[in-house]
Amino acid sequence: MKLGWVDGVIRIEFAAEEAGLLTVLAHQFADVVRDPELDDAPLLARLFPDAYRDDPEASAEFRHYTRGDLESRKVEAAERIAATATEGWVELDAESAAMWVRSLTDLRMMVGTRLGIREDGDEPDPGPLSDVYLWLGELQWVLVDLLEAS
Amino acid sequence: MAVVAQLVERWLVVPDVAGSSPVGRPDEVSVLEEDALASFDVPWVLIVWNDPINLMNYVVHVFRSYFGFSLEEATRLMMLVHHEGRAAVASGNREEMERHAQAMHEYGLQASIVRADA
Repeated sequence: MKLGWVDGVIRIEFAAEEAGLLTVLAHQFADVVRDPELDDAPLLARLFPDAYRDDPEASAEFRHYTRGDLESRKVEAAERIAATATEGWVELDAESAAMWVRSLTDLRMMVGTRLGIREDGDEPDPGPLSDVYLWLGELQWVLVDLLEAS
Repeated sequence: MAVVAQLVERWLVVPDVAGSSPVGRPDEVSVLEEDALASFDVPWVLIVWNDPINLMNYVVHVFRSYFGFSLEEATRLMMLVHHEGRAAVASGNREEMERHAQAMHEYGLQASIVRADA
């Protein structure tokens, strides 16, 4: 993976497996948000947290008015990643890159929750999924850095 | 908040914060930053909570791009979240704070609203 600003766009070169991984994760995320199963509850609690920590009723009302909109925005951002992540050079303008970094947080939330990361300092057991988590973190970190440098 | 260990030292530049006391003296630190509240005289506060997933530079990016904070202010608030577990990042009327909370949730940050006098 190489990336940087070129002629006003961020260019990223993905290997085939990297692009494939992003696409799969983005589709998985969209599926979970659209059609969650019972054991997705911990992830949903993080994606759509209580807006009033001491007031379940107000939180439920807030969720009632905001959740549908939030769901569709998060799915839209994940689908943007799935549609643009391909093998070879990918070009992102600032708006797309901002959408990517936002959705990368969602994808990392999904993978991190599966890995049992609950508080600062939790280190996932080494393995393929934790490699994916770290790789997503590096991609997001560098993309944010590029955006902030623009 | 999470850091990418192998990158963080190279990328995270917080010169004004790292060397000195980042959040002032303990007695100056209030979750409901009193000066912000006094100047607005309004009863609702948006709180952003620490979480182990979000990267430090992403939180700064969100504070800068959504609230329009300077790099220094965004970094100060991020460090407050990181060290204190939470920070008040905005205050105003309830509807406005709910809009901010929804936006923070869209960015994937853990945010909630509380009455200033709660």
